[in-house]
Amino acid sequence: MRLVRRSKQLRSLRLRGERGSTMIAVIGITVVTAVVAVGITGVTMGALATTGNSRSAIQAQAAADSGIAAAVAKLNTEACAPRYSRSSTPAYSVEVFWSATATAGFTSGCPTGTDTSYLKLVSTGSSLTAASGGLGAHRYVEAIYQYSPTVIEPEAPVGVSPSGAALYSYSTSSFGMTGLTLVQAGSARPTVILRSGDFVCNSSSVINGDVIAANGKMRIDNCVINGNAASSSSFELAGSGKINGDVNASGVTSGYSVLMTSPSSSITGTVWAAGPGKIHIPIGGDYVAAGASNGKSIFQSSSHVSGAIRVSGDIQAAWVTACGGYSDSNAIAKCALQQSPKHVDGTIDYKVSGLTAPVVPIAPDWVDYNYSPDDWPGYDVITLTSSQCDWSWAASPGLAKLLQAANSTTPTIIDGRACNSIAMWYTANPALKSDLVIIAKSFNVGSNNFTGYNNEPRKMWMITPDTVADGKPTCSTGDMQINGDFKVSGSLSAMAYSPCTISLSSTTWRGQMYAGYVKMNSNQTVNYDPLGLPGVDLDTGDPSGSGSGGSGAPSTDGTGVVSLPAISYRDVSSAG
Amino acid sequence: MIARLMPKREAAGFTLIELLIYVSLMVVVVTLVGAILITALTGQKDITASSSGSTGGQLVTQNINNNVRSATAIHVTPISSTRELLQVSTPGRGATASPTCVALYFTTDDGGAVFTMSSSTTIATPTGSNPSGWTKLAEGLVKSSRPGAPSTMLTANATMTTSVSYEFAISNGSGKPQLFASTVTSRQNITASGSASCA
Repeated sequence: MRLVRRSKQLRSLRLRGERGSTMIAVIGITVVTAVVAVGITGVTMGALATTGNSRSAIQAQAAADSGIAAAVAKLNTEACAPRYSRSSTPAYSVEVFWSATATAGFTSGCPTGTDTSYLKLVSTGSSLTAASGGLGAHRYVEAIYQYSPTVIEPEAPVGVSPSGAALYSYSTSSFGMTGLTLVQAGSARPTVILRSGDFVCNSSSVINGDVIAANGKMRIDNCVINGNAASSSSFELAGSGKINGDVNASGVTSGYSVLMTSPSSSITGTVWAAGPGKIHIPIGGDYVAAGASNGKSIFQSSSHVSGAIRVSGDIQAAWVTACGGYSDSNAIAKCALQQSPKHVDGTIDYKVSGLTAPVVPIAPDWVDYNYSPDDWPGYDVITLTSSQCDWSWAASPGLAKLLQAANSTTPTIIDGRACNSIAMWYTANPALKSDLVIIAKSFNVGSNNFTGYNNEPRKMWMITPDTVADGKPTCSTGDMQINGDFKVSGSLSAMAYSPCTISLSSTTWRGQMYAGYVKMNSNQTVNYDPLGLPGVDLDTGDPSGSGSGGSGAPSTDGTGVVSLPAISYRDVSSAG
Repeated sequence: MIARLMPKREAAGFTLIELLIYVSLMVVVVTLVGAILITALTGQKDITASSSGSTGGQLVTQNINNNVRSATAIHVTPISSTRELLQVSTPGRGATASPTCVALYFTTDDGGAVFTMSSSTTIATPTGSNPSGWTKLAEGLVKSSRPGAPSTMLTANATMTTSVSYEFAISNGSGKPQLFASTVTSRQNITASGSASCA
């Protein structure tokens, strides 16, 4: 039995050895397959890495581009920020640089000025997934744009900034100041300006300020000017007229630049003329007759110059024919003027070269002001109908509107443009609780005393709009007649504006007047306190000037507009 | 007794029948294994070639994209039916813009290849299938066999080119060529004066 079992064991061993040849083949196949698999795997992994890098680079590039686009969108809608970033897909970080030029000098941050500048946006885009080795994880894009910051002009203050002369008359053939008393009520010195035409003061007016005839002659007769007088043409002082200031005469009329032949008149300051003069009055300062003219300045017996005489031409002392044995007429005149009683306290020079004529006085151009409610922020508006134009009896509906406005604590505009004219003769004596603006095509008012309520400072404007923006008064409606003891007094100041004529008679006015022609009839008193008009500068004649605007330089609120397309848009190698 | 009990056949080795069966089985096994090996090796070769082609094609497309995206001037010149030239002027990628001329040369001659060159001056039109001084980006360039494909590998959209369309294939190995097609548009504000450079 043992032998039989042994035999079976040997046979079994032999059969297993025969199956080993198949095992070798299997091992061979396995090895070869493994080599192939490793090779394919390596190639595949390499390809995947390349594809991953490409994908990552594209994602990062798109993110960087989206950062630029997002930053531009933000810059066009919000205040500029030095950095824009996003952490989720698409993830980017955009840094902002600015420069005054498009090519160099960029500094980090947003522009601070108001000038047009250039923004450089450098966007770092990050891929959604980093590829192997981190390649392609970031891409950088640089874009340069022109940028226009939002410019904010200085905010106009509440109300209106004061500007303008006390009395401004644009043009008339003969501007006559009759019975005018002009005094300074505020901090500004009064000025009377005639833009074009001859300036005549032929009654007992007293002007506590300067007078200017910007394009015409000036004659002061029995008037007192406690200030300077300037004329673009000749100057004449007559009667008992007095100039307690300097006189500038920039032109010549009938051979004379200054004609001062009334011994009862006087000038306390210096006379500076463009040509020769005739002097029969005391002059407190120098007498200078300049210009190329070789005319002769004639001094009469009542003349007295406290300063020096300097003329580019000749001189003559009218009361002598000989002096000091001189044969030269200029020397004879000089001798006569300097001998006792002296007519000249200072030196005398004649035929002086290089003397310059006084400059022509400058008067601001006419400012066209057309009414716009936008010019008066914060004002209530009461619009009159055509049946509310006459305020001449107690129960008139128009007067009720006036009193409604006068009693309102909110500044109010009475828009009376539906009326041909606003007439006010009922004595209501309104005391304004707030500022008041009355707009009308024309006015005819009297017998009232407008004041500020409770003696509080208030302002009032009576305006006839100039609807034609042509730089000169365009009178298409009617005059503003202010007479019959119409007063603006107390703590109230008023501005009267009309492209037509403002006619004054028995008027007391605190404020200023600006008109195509300010006509004075008798007994008017103006206490100068400038109010100005919104949106214009009456001092310079600039219709868009700073009259209603604030002072200081324009500023920016950080917003602006990015101009497209980009001046430059490129990929860069780094964010630096 | 023991000798009688031992089987005679085992001592005599394999029978003819056994050998025939064994050989037949071995032939079958070897044939199968060989086929598997050949298929695997062929597949590996194809995969390697395909991967190489893919990598090369991506390198070319990336090169086109990177240069055209920032280009201030773009010119496409069909030199012949088998050779095309793309020239761009780019501001470079440095912190400060530095105008640079970059050219890509596509040729399907002698197996096909794509070359590139950059210079600060205008790049002359290359000649031949292996131009001197140019860097080879990819091999196996062939024209696209897609129905409806343009006759040229590069297409410019206008005289004052702002974008370039490309469609080409990379064939490396016995597999089907890999197709690469896209359109790249410059983000620069290309002007007529700018298009005059690098041409």
